[in-house]
Amino acid sequence: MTEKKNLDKKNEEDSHQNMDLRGTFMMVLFLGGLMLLSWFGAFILFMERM
Amino acid sequence: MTNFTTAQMFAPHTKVDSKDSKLVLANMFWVAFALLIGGSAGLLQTLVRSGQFELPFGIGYYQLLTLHGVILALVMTFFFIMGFQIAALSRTAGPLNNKERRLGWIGFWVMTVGTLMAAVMIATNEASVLYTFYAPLQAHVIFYIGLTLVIVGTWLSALGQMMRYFRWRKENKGQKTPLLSYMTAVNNLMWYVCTIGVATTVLFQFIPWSVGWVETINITLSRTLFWYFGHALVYFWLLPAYMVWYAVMPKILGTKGFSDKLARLAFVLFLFFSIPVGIHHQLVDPGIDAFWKGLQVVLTFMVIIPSLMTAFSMFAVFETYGRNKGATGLLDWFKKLPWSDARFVLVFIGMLFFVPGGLGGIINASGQMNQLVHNTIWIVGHFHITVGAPVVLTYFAAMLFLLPHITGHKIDRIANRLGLMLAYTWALGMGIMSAAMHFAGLRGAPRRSTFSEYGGAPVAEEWITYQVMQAVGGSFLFIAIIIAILMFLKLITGPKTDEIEEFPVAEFLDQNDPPVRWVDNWRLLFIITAFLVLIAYTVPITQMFTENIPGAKGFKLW
Repeated sequence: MTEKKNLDKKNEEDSHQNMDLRGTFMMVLFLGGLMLLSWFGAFILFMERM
Repeated sequence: MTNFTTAQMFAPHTKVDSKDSKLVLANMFWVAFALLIGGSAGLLQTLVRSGQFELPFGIGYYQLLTLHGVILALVMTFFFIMGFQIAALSRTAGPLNNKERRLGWIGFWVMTVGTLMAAVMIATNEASVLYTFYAPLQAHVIFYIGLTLVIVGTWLSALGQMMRYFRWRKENKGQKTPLLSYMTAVNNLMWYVCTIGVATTVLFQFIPWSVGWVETINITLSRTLFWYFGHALVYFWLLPAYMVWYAVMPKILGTKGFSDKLARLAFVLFLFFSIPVGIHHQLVDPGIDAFWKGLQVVLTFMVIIPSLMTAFSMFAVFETYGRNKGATGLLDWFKKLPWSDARFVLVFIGMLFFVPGGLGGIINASGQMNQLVHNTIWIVGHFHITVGAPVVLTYFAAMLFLLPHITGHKIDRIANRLGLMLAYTWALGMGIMSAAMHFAGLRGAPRRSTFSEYGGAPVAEEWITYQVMQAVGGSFLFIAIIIAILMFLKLITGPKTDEIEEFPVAEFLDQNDPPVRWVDNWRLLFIITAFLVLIAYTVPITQMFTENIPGAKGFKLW
């Protein structure tokens, strides 16, 4: 019984649903933001030089 | 020869087979040698471009540039990839059998002969055509034959690897294939498909043209076939680094990978979208219709998806590790990461470089916007913070555990410290050099050109400060290369130990989920890959035959 409980607990710990990924979410958003910023920066330079 | 079970695959004491280790080590010797030669050439180039140094003994700048490109971008990477993939298979699927290993050795020797042939031609100034060998620059035929042999060598070695992978699959029907082995198979399939382009142009265009059987060459066709290969080449370099990121790094941290399924899907997407995109290197080339350039730009952007999937997975692994160590805030898990472990630091710094590297790549591939940076030294800066940082630093991290693992040693305090010094010195040098290249490129400084004041043109004066900065960065990078060589020596010498360094292989959170069948359906993967290639390339290449493009005679401008 205790063994089963431990196994369930381990599975729960391993589950994707129980992960705290706030920081990961922030970092991926940050990368997306950087992507937009750098692209538009280059685009503005491109338009200026047209 | 046995196949490893799942338990053996993840056991820390499971080793690369001793016979396979010799083959891996032979490949790694070439990596160290190529790094030293290519790095020295790179240093001299940056010094020449600073305007403060002239090459001695009649060595040409373009001769040196060819050496730098060929030996680092082709030789060093190819030997590393072959060695690492063999080690990954032997570690996760089980030892290679004699036939598979023999193919690895034949491949190794064919690559060695090819490299030496190309090297002799570069050394005798018969092939100063740079590593892209664009026509109408014409090298000696031995140079082209040498490079062909290098590619043929990788085919043979990769064939042995594929046989190993499919043997495991056949003997373990219905089971989930070992992730690292699966990843090597994806990389090798991509390699077979993409090298058809370079093999075709070299065998049917460059060799007949350089020996004088035909007088002229169709340049547009040769460039298109080269870049059909050339962009996938970038992913051939990168995917072994991703193997380390996905399948090794979580184990180094003592945690689990985020998702085996996601990792496999990312690799499949790289397989699909690495090849039908080469025309984004030819956005200002004449002779290719704008529609097909546009289509390949869209296909190029598809690579952003697996790239961001990879970024997400890695952040998730790092955050989970940090939270297990007690982090509770939004980003304080960064502080908990193992900043004293060189295996981690080398990879992490590489990942940091990949952020601006990826952003720059999107700008380069953005259709007309490519004109902003085309043929400027921005591009050189871009590929130095992609292949020259995330890829190479991850290769160093892999060698840090692989070299002692295959030679019966352990990473000691000194080797780890050398690894940390290597990471930070490389970051400093590459940071200075590549930033200077990007800024100079935005101001119009050309790539592939030796030092010139351009007749005192004011715009060219602006570039000189950046060129001096490149020399400063190049000097730090050379110091880093010396540190890397010392680290390699430290890792393979000294008394052997019973407690051999681990080749870390991580389990994933979804390790026990049933396998996803379609990602291991190789017929389907090949059909989709070929379909995308045919869509992207059939019409543009057909037009190169039907539109009477004038041929070009060969030139030797050096």
